[in-house]
Amino acid sequence: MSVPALEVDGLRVEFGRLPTAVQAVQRVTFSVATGETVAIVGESGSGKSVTGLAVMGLVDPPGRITEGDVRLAGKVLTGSTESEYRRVRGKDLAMVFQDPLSSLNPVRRVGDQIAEAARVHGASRASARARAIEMLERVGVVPAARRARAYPHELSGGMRQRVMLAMALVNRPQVLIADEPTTALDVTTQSQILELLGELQREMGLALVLVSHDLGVVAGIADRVLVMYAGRIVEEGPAAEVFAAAGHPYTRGLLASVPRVDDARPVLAAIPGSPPDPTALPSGCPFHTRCVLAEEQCGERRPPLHLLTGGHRAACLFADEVSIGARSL
Amino acid sequence: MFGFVVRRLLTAIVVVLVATFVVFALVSARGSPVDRFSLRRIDPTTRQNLIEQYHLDKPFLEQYGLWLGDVVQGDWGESFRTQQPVGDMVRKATWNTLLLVGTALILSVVLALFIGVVSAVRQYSVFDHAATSFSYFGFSMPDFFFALLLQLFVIVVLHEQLGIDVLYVQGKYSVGQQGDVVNLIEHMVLPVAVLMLTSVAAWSRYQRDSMLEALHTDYVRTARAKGVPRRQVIRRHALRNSLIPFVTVVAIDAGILLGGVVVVESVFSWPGLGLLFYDALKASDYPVILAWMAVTTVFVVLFNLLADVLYAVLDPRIRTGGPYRRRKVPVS
Amino acid sequence: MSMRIGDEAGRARAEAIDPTLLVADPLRTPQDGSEWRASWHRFRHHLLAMVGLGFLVFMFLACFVGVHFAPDPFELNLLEPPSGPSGAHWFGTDVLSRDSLSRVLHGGQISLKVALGVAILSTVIGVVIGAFAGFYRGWLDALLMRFTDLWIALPALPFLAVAVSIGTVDLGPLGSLDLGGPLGITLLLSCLLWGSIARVVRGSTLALREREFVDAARAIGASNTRIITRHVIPNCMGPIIVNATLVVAEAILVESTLSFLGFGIQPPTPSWGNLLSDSIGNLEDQWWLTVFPGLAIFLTVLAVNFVGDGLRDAYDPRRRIRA
Repeated sequence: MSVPALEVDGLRVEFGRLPTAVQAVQRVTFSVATGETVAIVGESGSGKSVTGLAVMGLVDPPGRITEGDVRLAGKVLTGSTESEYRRVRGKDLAMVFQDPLSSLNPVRRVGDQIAEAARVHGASRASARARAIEMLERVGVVPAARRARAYPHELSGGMRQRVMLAMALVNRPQVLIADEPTTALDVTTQSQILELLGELQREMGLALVLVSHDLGVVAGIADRVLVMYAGRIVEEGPAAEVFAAAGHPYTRGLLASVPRVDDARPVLAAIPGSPPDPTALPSGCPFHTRCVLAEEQCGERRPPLHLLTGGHRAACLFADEVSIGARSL
Repeated sequence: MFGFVVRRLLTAIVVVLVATFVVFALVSARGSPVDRFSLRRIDPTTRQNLIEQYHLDKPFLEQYGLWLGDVVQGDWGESFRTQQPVGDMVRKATWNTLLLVGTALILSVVLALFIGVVSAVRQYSVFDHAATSFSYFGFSMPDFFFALLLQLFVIVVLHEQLGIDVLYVQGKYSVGQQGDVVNLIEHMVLPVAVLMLTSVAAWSRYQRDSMLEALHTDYVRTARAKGVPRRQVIRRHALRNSLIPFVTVVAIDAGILLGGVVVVESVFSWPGLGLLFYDALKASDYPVILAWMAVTTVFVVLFNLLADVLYAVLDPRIRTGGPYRRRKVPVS
Repeated sequence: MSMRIGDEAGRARAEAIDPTLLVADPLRTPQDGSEWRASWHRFRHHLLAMVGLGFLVFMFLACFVGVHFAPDPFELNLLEPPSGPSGAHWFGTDVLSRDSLSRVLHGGQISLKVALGVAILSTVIGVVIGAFAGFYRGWLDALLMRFTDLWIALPALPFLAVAVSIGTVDLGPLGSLDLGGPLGITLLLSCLLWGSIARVVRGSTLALREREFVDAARAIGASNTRIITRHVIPNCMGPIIVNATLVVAEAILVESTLSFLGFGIQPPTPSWGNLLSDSIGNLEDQWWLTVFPGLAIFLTVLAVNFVGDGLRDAYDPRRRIRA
């Protein structure tokens, strides 16, 4: 079996200093193979975005990686110096962010910004320009040569996100982390961008990490799903399995609260309560205070990830029942 | 873009007219120059000539109109104090002041940028704290006191105690050394230093804040995610973007330098616009006061206009008609 | 008008650039007792601000109370030469053998009174203009703010000097006003320095008028003026106070510069500014005549700036941009 494109092993990210340090990410482990799409799902504050930033080495003080490794095609990345990181960023490992308007430099033309990604990794000025235009065509921003001279605010939201993708992929990286790439877009544009993402992945053999709070976005495109809650992975497995037979009450809750066109129910189901304060996490299972199935033991010890079927795990003491119950719906 | 400039220019002209009117009213409120404030007794003929020349017997609005007409045609009148044509006096003084202010401006901008950027990039470092202390010192120190202290230092410490005979505390040239550049520079050091104090203190602080803001934007994060080296991120993204508001602030603050020049030139006896104003006001030299105030006001309005135009030039969002935000700082 | 490009004036200009930028968030302004206490608590922990406050209290006491224990500032002795600091005369004596310390203290009275008066009056003007501009928006706002921008950019000193030289103005039934006297200067300066406050208030008002309590007040039939005075303005007190502090510093500096040049407070009434101009002729011989009054100005303004910084932090600690 070949080495996975990206491996995250026991990652722990902490913010601030003792005694009020916040554990934003706690013992997160997963891997992504070439051509595979792994989705990280969770509410805001679950640690999903920080995980993405940590992989890129972009967690700034007062945050820091306290434990664990990130490996890129087998080579350890964590612990690298800033210049070692920057050699990798944008070239082997790339990231696109949520809001393309604020994530693009407002006073520079988009073509130049894409070309910059090529130039900092060794391309000549002419070659970078050419590749930038080529990428713009590839992502569907046409006429490319003219659009390259535009400023970010002159483009629509969807086009801006395409530009972000072009910028991230101009050097043909092996791994792409997309942090909520469609959240700032309307529904039609969303699906266009997701489709584009899928095409590009197939074409370039990308290992894609898709971070989102939106299960609908994730369903169409993910091979595997990781559900995060309060900095921990509470469920993981093949997408089809997780969707059909979720083993963790939180995941069940998330799935149930997605409005469906064919759903006749008049009331939106929602998970009662709100995500926990990271500085004051509940004892035992972090979800138990909001869980309908919670019993006394849930507050006493943290459930480990329990194996359901091949590759499908959930961190709940009642995972089997929850999963079977989901499957029977 | 062209339309933008034209619109601004027209607004500026209107503002200048209003401003000169106000200035005229202000100066005229001091009373007729030939009645209350003459230094010498004027004989009736001279008095009548002056009244005619400056239209002092006409109703106020007409006075203003006539004065404006005179000014536009280049007739600024003659100084009550020296009888020289005001235009010549102003021109000569302007050149001297430009020498001082121009030097101070360039040096201040360079120094302020350097201090501001380094403070931001190395936030909370020793340098940053030192720069902050310096800023406080600069805001709180009255420039005339600073000027006197410098003079005191040069005279007592350098000249008397240490016997080092450089730097002068008065005037533009030493007697008989016109045209000697080194001599000129020795005379310029102190006044330029005083002029620079406030500017550097304020601008460096502003640039520090502007830079800090830029460094924490999303687009800087994107640049880092692309693998752009740190130096380049600072220079090409953060700094370049933070310069836009910096430039406009400098342009607007030009007016402040004009105020500072009065003090500095009087303390150091530098023959520029500031000293001209000081002498004119002390002597109730009506034509000079009027000319000076009008020129200053026009100058300030023009620099405000320049700030607006510069902003449009530098920030494409204003230019290409995105949602029009007046002087928006590029932040995420 | 701004003779000083003080930190907050720069901020006010940044404000002009974007009201939400670099300024205490008006939505965080204390609205009830516990928040005031929290602010005071934060202020108390700001070392420099407390030092500044302490110094200002000391200065006030010295100038208004301690001054009565100092020798008469007008008592001359033409036979004795000026002397340096000594046991009898802590700040030395001047050319006319007047005690320098008491002259500094008396000068302080005037400078401090003028500065406070200017702060209060210019705040009133600024708040009114800013609130109306921000509340009514539209062309009124655009007009007022353009005017304010220019007003801030104009150099205060020359305009002030010319205005003061108008001399005494006859106000009819209100008597006559000497524009060169402390009251006159206070009024004139107030008319020049309201700009940064207007800017800040306008920004806060723009933000606040969108909030629900404005709609609620409207729903019960409150008039616009009432909404502005009772609801909007009290909620921007934080930035207002901070800017007012800055104006105090500016006022001290402008007034002393004016007096220094000879256009302000005239001798023999001492003012920190004219004490310094008196000292010019004998700079190297009687350094104490220059240093002490100058230090008085410098340290007082510095203290005011520290207090202002502390107030800024007290009202919105989030403003500190952390890495």
